[in-house]
Amino acid sequence: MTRTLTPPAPEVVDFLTAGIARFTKQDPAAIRPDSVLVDLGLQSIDAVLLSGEVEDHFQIELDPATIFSHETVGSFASDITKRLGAR
Amino acid sequence: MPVVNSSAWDTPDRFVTDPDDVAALLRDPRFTVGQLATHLDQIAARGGPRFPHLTEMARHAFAFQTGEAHLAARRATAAFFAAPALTAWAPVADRAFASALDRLEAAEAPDVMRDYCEAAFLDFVRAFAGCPGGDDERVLELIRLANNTTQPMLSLKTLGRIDAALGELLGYLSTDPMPGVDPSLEGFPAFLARRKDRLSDPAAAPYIALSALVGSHTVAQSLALALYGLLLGDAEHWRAAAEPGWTDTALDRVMSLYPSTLTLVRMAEDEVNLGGCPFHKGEAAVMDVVAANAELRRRVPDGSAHLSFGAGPHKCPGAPLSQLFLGRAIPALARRFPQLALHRDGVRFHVTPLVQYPVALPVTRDAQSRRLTGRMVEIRDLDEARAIVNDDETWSPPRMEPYLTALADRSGRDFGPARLVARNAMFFMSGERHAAIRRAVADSLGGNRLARWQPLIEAETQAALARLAAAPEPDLIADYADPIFRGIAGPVLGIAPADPERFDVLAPILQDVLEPWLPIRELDRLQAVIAEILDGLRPPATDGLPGTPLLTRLMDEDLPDTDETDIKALVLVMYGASFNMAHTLGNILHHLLTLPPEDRKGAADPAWIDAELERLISLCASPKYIYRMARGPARIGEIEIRPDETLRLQLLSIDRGVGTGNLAFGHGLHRCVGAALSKRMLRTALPALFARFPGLALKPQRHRYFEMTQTVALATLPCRLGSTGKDRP
Repeated sequence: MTRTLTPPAPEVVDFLTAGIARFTKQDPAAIRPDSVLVDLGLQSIDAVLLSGEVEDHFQIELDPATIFSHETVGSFASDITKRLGAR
Repeated sequence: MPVVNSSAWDTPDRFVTDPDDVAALLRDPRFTVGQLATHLDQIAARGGPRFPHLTEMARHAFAFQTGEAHLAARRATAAFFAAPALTAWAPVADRAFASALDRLEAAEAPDVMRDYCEAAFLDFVRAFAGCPGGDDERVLELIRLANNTTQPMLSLKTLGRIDAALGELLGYLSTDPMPGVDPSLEGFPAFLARRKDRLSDPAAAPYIALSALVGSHTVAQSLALALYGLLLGDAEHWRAAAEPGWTDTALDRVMSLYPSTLTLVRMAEDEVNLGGCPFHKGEAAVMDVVAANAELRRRVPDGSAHLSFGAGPHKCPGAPLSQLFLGRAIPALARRFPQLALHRDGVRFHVTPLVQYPVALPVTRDAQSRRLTGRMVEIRDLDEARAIVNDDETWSPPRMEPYLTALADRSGRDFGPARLVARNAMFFMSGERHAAIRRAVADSLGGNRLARWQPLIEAETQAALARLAAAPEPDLIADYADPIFRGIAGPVLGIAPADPERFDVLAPILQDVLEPWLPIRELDRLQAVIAEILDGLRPPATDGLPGTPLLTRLMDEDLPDTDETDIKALVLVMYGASFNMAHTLGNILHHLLTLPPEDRKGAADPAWIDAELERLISLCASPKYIYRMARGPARIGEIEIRPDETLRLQLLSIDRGVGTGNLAFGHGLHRCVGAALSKRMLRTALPALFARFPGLALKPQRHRYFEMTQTVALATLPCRLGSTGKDRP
């Protein structure tokens, strides 16, 4: 049962890539939409901080647990894009 | 001829509840069915809109017909609905259940009403009632709406929507053979077309077919209500439905217990006296089917005598269909999902004065532990869960304090109050400090220490009973469970707020402490409340209390690395956790009062409550989860666990009616320190309530749950206190 994905907005992908790179101390170029969030070394604490930043930046409510219900950066980015559309 | 007035349902004490009176009334020609035709004429006469399809339904649907036309139509169609004819439809029903079971298996958020009861119903009724047209969701939506036609005094807007729904559904009916169905099986429209000559009015055929399609939704309603009743019970009770022969032994009782029909209504055509009750001309007589069935089960325990399908000329023609459908649907579901578990706080009901049925039945399909996300694994197996809570080497409680410290460093924000709470929340503690605090707390709250508090518990129970008795709209949460919890937890723990009213408003947020990965904005809100509450706490009064409050005792202890502020935070967190006393009491009351009266006969007897307590706790305890974190890499069954990953022990599947040995209060090092106090409160408050109000009953499905992710907690539980023992069961 795959969820039909809204195409992720570029500015969302860039924002997440920069944030994740900062939290996991990696080169942003190494982070692609199909990168698996857990394999990038994203910890629970990073999820809480990142979702706080997404909320402030995009003015939406985002439960930190949402991040881990997604496998990849792209899937998470499309979820945020959908919420932006719904706002 | 006036029309049924919905105010007739406002006085439940005037309902006809004696089964003999109900049967006599349903057979008495001086009482007639609701006059939909008259109602529609009166609306039109006053310049209101005309409802063409409803007008035809009022003339041709059995539920509204009277006299010879009705009897002729019943005779002409009886053969189609009779049991012998239905056996040929059994394979169609079984195929419908099989495909609905696959749908339930694949559903991302499985719901037994949507994915099983209604899916199978529609699949079956499309062939049976000859309705191939329209897409599934649309047809179901129209049927649900039109099924309300029998409700009295519907608004003009609703009548208009129903009329349109009937018109659209008419277009989806067909006399053609259904694809994929044995061609020898004739749908109801085709059957009617073939026997047109035997109908008093041939033009009636489409509307008789339509009323069968719409009316048969009641089968799906009753199936859903039966599954709700069965799934509220323990796992053993559910698995029994998978045993061969269950239908023969148990179906009658299910039919008696779970009809979606709450009441039936008839109009007195002139002055009538029935069972000692006078009815004047035009008055509506409301019959309480639930109460009548309960009385019949007292006379015939196997439930074979019931009035779920009514009696007399208007007895429901769908009775054999219900028997066939429920008799096969329930075992099929129990065999496919023996560990099915219902999320009772996610259940939603459609309730009117006439019917009640679930519209949402969210479930967990099996008790298989599985990975939920990249960072969380859910444990649903009792043995796995017990091994985890006993193995402190591999699994630690959530390490909240180091987590908040790191969050503070990384975010540059001050989480002082939140870290103070995390440091002093016993469910997050480990090691020697935890053991020392646990010993000190056990000195106050241990089972053998609590006898001295019994007078306070009984006094608070009596006070709550008086409050309940005096309440204009009695509610078992606001007027019983909450006051008892507040009246006990405050004094026993030593929580003495300077402004109790403000405290009661703020305190519930303490329950959010347990939420994993709390968003930063919620963390800010939580700690602002904690700071304000801590500021407002006064040293507890100790005079006049039968025991020493916990806070006072802990202040005298020499606890490692724990100052006065820590102790106030520690006791405050325990007050937050104590809300579960009120929630669990509320859940048990809802559970007991949802049971058939004969299954809770002993509720006023402390010995019966004592014998049932562990099983009731396993089903109704309010905490949903226990959390653990992996200290290092680990494995559970096939699942690989990474260090620092979170395990969520789902108590719904783990505990489902396990009785003794359940994990509702946890186990081992972190077993709940409030367990003994909670059980003592339950052993006092439960029998006292049922002894004081033997006729206590819930207002059907008027309860509401809090939207809480970690806790099953009722916000309201409206009830009728009933006469103290006069005629009520």
